[in-house]
Amino acid sequence: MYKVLVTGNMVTFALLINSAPHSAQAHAAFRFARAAVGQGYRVIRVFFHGEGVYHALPPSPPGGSEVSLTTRWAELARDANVDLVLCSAAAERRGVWSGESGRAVAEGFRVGGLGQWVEACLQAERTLSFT
Amino acid sequence: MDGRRFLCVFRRAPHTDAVLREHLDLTLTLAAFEQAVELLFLDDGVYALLPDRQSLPEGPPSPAQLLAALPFYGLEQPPLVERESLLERGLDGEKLLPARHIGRHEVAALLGDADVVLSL
Repeated sequence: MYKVLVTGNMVTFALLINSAPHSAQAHAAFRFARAAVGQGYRVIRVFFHGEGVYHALPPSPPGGSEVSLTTRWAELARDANVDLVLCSAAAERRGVWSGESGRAVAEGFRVGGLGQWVEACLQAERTLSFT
Repeated sequence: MDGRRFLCVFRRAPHTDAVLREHLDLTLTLAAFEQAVELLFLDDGVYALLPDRQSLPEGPPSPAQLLAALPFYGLEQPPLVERESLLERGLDGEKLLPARHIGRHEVAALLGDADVVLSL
């Protein structure tokens, strides 16, 4: 379990995830967010860019014993009001989302633009990237 | 929205131009929103500064072309590259894309001065 240590009054975070869901960085990002929320900090937005957009692939049907990071993010987003945004260009490039066909992304995620990442950087008191 | 000083640190080898291009897109978006942005290439990230390997005329802009476009986004300063990273990789004598060479001892101050450090 991560212990989130911050000094001063820094209570809001924005996270950038560039790594695919199976990577160590992606898991570290989730554990960080969960620990931060658990300790009363606010994660205002998680922006999925690059390979990170694979987080928004709808999880495969239940059956396996492993709960996907996608589902866990969606649960955290619902419980702690975290905005999960993926970059439209990166998602389209990887076939995760298509504006034309209307292919849906996983529940809890939404498609946005890099401007929303900039906005999150300016609103949050701390910004972390997981690459 | 207030302005912040961003330092975008490129530390990974650009195994594919597509990934590097996405990171540069992110950097240029920050600049387009009139944020103060500096680019720093270190470790294997310095390979990104090797002049154009292959750019297809009909393809998307190459990373070299994107780097050349930085001034149009208000980034007047050339990107920074760490001298020791170049030396360690035998690239110190190579012809590189325009960049300002800095020493490793200067990196800590850069990291400390930035409001937001994005490791890419």
